[in-house]
Amino acid sequence: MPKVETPMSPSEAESKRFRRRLLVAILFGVFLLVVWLYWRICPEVPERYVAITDHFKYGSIGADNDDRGIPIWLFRVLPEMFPEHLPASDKTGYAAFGFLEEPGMDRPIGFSRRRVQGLDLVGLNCAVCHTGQYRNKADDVPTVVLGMPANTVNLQAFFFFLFKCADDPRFQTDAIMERIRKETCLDPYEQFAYPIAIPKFKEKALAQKKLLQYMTKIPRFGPGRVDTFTPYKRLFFKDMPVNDGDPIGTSDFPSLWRQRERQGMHLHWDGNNESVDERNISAALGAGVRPHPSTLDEPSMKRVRDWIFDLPPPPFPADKLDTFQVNRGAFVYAKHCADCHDWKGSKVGQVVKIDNIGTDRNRLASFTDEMARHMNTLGQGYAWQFKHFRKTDGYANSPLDGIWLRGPYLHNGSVPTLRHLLMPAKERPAKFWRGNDLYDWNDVGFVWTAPKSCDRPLFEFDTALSGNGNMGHEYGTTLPKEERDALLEYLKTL
Amino acid sequence: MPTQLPVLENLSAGQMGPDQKVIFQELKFRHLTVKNRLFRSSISGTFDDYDGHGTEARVNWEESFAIGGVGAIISSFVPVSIRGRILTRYATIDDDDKIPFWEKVCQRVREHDCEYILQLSHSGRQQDIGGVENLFKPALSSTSRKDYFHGIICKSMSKSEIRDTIRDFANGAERAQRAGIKGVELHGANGYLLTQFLSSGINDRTDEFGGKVANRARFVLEVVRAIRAKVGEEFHIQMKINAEDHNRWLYPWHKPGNTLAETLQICEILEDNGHGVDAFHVSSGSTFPHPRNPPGDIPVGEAARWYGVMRSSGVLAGWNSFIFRTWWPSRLFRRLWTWQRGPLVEGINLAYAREVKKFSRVPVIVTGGFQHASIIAEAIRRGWCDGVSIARPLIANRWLPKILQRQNGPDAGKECTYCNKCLINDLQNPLGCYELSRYGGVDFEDAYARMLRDVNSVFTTPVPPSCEDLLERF
Repeated sequence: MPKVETPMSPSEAESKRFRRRLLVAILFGVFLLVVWLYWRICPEVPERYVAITDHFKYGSIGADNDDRGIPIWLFRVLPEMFPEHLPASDKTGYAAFGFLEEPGMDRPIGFSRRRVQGLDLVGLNCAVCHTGQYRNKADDVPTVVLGMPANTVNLQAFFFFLFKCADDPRFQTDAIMERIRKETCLDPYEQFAYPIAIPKFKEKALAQKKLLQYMTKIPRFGPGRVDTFTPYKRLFFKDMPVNDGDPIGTSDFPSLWRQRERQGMHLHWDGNNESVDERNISAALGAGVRPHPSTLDEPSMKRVRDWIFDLPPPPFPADKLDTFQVNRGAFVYAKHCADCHDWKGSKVGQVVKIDNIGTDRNRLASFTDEMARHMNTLGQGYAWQFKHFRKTDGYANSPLDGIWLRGPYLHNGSVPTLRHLLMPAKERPAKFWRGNDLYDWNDVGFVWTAPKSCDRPLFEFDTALSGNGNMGHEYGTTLPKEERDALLEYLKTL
Repeated sequence: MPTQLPVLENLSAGQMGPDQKVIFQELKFRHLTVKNRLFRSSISGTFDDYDGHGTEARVNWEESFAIGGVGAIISSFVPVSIRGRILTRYATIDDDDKIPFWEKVCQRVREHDCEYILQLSHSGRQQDIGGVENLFKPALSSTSRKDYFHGIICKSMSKSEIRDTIRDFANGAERAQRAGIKGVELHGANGYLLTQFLSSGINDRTDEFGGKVANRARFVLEVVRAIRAKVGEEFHIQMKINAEDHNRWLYPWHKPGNTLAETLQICEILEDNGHGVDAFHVSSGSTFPHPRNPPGDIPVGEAARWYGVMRSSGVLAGWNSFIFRTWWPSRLFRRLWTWQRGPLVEGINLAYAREVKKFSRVPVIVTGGFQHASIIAEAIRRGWCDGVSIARPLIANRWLPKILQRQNGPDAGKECTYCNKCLINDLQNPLGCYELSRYGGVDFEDAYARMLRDVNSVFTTPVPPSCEDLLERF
């Protein structure tokens, strides 16, 4: 008898094909999943901007790293969940710290966004300390100026806010996740990763709070100021203790204009470095870039550097200038100021000994020989390794480009207007209110006399506190009033 | 012989409430009169011989509903050919040798003043378990695309297969007539062959049987005309039809299927200027099961136990089985099911029936979880339908009509829960109510024993319910 083979039924044959196709589909699905996970998690991708101005305002310099970055949705819900930890202000959210916000953006100017290990993290960039604003009248829309010192930004209050949130008993992963879910629809990876990232943020914030505890014992920075170098000791140089009574290094945010011409000058207030690049990168480290292993986004930094090389300050409004006085003032300037402060001055960019200039010594004293040595250990193994930090014996003469927008004045921001800077120290205000963006066209600076701006309380600056002294730099204070007025008019034009 | 107990008598009209008077009035079709407005809807049960010959269990099963007091029974799903089976062990009407059985069923049912309507059916591609005869044959359909729920392989029927199938339907009707049955129902709803031709969501033919509504209705119209040619004008023919297909319930990218407007056109075609069907039986849902038919829950636990028998039939049955057996997919499926069904169960198709009734010239019956007199009576009173067909509530309460004569519905705890456990158990077990919570009992063993007694009662001759039975059961 011939053997009869039983064929597969149509259903069995189709099932077999179906199983094969299913297997292929599963393998393909796994492949896609792996590709997706790789794409989603592995590359570190910053948000990129075509326009250099947008790049400056929102682009990453590498501070949005896994160590210092804040997950974007956590960043966004914190002010809503913990409004009691915000500074008193008519503004809500991060604007309460004086951060500048633009419509359509998910974060203030000075905050970058980068995908790290699959999560979008927010970090600081150059613009946070170097973008300011001014307004003519209280009800005017402020004019935002890139490269200007961030006159309204209270960076220290922002850090304290993060610490308070992390320390709040209501800072619970479940509660925060619930709040985030009300704001957005997280993708599956974010659903998985946020519950891990939130306690991680808390842990790091509390650790930083502990490290920066010394800040609670020194005079508050207030808006527009920061202590650049002391935090280095706690964050990078653990062998350098910070002791009670140490000099206070708090100083004003500088401007970022016309950097090409500053190459070779002694940079930083005390002139401790001649390299624009090292100065830039050391500021980036202060903003949160990790030095070892380096998270510095060098191409991005270079893009910013190339732009600020030739970025000019905005001119003083011509309709508010007295040209006659300007012409008179130019002569006074040439006679009394140009040698130290003019681009062609013989001493511009040079350090003037502290005994000669006589301004507050704290900032100078806070940066020691030991600190300079430590600074020059950063970046080992990288092309950007610091080599030029040094200890100086005074403060550097800075060119005066855009000086009209750089108030308050002196390295520690202790003199509210240029007019007061041209007065003897004893006639300068002992206390004044900082953080205003309302411009004082007469005295050249920001209105400093009232405790409140149009939309927020201002910070009372007390020159009697350590590091806040308004003495020194009494150049021009003995000039006749007419000459001082003319000089002031001319300074507006720089 | 079973013990004869005092019979629970039918009440006279004078003894009934207003709702009962509406429900328990005659319904006159053109060629058939039914004593009340309650129809036992088609439910099958795998009680019969493998070769399609009916058994005593089927007779018992049908008679029990007649005893319960329904006006008419629409038979089990009766395939007109072995190729048109849904499940094995369903009595068929594919040959003259089946006539004596159906004659016996009809006689036994009619002894209780109940009419019997034989449902002529063909599974098409919805051939859940086709048996060894169909093992190597793809199911016949209007399309070659497999059924999207179970994944049953099918082929688009050739013209000769269409002609043969029309002939099978006509022969089936003639055999029913010869068995003394006064009418037949064509199962044109819930995804079976006639739906597969009618539905714009399934029928993808490009010939005269596909495309526009008139073409898609052509196959069913020819079946109706072939039946009329065989059985004459005096024979009752009713059409079970989907008011809407809801064909996207599982996969939203599928075509939606027939709309109500299309169905109303089909109804007009099938009335065939007064020579076509004599009634419409309104349902909805282009597959079986479907969230809307039978409307209720999907018992995934029961499905995990009993659905596995389908694995050799459908390409997707293994996948479905995996879903039913796995915790979160089964929960997800159940949520999809109840979401697609919507909140309404009892009277789910009433709004559709109202529209069909508005536009058709023949009586309309509607199905959909009916078990309360107030709802049934109100629907009839408003003219939305002429009668209702009931399946699961009658499985739960075999004597539901007698209950409805006396009260609005079954007592609390004894109502049909729409759990659909009966539906899933039918794949492998005797058809009956498997909702344990309805059986009372002091513990699980007691309740389970009561349930087994009930579902196995189909294998004994039914007796009229006594007052004591009513007290015990309700």
